[in-house]
Amino acid sequence: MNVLVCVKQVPDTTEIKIDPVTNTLIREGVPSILNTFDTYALEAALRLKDSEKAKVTVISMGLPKAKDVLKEAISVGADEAYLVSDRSFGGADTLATSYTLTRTIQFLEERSGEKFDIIFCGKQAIDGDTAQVGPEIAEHMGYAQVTYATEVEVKNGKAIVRKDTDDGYCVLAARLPCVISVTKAPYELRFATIKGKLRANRAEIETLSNDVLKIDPEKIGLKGSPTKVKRSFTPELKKAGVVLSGDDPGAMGAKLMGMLRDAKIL
Amino acid sequence: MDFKLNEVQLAVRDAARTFAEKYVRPRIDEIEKAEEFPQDLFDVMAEMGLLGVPYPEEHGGIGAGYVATAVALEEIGKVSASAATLLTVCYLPLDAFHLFANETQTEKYLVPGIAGEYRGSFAFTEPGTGSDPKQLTTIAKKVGDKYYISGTKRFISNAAYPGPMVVFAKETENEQCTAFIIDKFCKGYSLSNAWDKVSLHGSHVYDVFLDEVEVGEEDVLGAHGQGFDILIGTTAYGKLAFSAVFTGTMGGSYDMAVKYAKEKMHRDKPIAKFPTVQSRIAQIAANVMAAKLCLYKAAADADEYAGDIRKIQCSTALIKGYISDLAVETNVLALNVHGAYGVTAEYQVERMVRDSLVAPNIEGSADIQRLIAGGYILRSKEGYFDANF
Repeated sequence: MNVLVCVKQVPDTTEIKIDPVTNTLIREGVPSILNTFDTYALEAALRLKDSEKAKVTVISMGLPKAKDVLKEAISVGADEAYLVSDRSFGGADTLATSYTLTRTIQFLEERSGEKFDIIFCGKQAIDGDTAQVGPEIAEHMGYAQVTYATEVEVKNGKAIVRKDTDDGYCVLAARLPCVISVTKAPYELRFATIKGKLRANRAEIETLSNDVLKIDPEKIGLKGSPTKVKRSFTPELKKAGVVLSGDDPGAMGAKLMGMLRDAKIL
Repeated sequence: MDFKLNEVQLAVRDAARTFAEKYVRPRIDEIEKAEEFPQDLFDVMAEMGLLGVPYPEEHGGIGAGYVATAVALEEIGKVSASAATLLTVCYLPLDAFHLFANETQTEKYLVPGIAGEYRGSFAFTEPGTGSDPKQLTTIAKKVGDKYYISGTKRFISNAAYPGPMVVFAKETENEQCTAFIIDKFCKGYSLSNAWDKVSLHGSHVYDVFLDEVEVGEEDVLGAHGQGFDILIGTTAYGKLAFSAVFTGTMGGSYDMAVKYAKEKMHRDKPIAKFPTVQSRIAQIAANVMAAKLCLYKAAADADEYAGDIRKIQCSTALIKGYISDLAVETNVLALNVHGAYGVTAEYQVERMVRDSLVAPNIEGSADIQRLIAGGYILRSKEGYFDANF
């Protein structure tokens, strides 16, 4: 069995600040981590390594320093990792990103002559929060997809997936190959052993640029991104409301009416 | 001079830091109050590879040497001296096996010990002696091809867990001190309740009563009469390990004192602005630096002079005596930065002080360390310590 995990390096904060001038995320001074949901996607893949002896390949699209999260993935048990990095990939929206990742997956499959049975993604990245890349990869690949997965096992050539829903959960079967996006699950993630860290330090991580991948330049980076960000802003915090209290509802109602008139709401 | 850790040492430090910060720190209260150190945390420690840091890869260890071992213990000691002490007392029998076990014993004890399959024990101390084999009262009586060990061992860690225990006893036939490996909870093995003590609440010690515990020739560790060498050889590394634990407590209390000094307001300004506080912080920082330099030098000696156990013992005794006293002084200084809050459990620095109180009295007292080191230095023609290093 052969599985692949898409991961992203993200700023270690859930309180992203936005530069009011450039409307972009302020990343300076914020340490980078492996996206939280991706750690669960990786764990799901590694559980298949434990149970099915699956080979686990990890890819990440990003800057050269994203190799850190790929090494982290290797330190907990991933077999190999590739960085997808090229200046021409910069500025990609989810469509261009998912297309680039899809072409990378196909490139790796062609080069090795082996198909990936399952492509795992985290449910969403905690910096962009779109939750679109996983499903878009499934569309590009023409594969079945299951989102909000918490548990995955393989039986009779199908992925049996426990999927979180608003009301509880359901268990779905998907034909392989498929794409599964994983959400937080109620189990402990595995940790890196000392030997795992050493293996990761010594691992060669190949960088796949577009010179190698040869993806249509019209479909990558800014050019391949139909999404245009008009404006990003931090919503102003609302001031605390006024609480009227007293024993006489009539008098309080009158006071409220007066305040609304003063504020020119009425 | 390069103080940077190498790649392997960094990997060990990172693992120890992750273990301490992610797994131990959230459960300190539980560790301090539980009757035993939680098994699941011990399992994490083992799985990470921390039990095997100094031992060869061929036996399942990391083969990272003693600088890496010291760094790991220091990292854990910063957060919990009890957790670091657990690792240290597990190293003691493992060091004995690593240094003195034959091939069969290595497979039987060292390999599963590194894998965390048991928590081993090292039993020399008795009610009447802590360092002198001549004073041992535990005896091994030979009957046929068996030995029957009887006696009382004091302050023994991990005694309430199954697994091997290295026991030192005087052979009745010839009065020589020999180390035997017994299986805890075998026939004739019993133990007291855990000692109630001021330090290391998460690390439990017991008295062990041995009543005609039967062992065979295959359970002799090293050679007959080699007990003293085994004691010296093993505790040479034990002194280093405990020095690392208490250097860790100093680093932990230093971090707490600096944080408190910056946050605690007095007359509308942080107390960090007051000269007396600055002076105390500087003293603590200097002590931490001194302890770390001593620790790493002795650890580097342990790596460099492997095979020359007396040279290593001189070096580790020298720093154990020094760091033990320095840890108490430094942690009290850090507590005093906290004022009256320092003695409250909420601020944790009191735990560092309490835990370090045992430093001058564990693994050989600070006084005897100085006697050991001084003796080596003055008796030896070669000079065990060279001030021109």
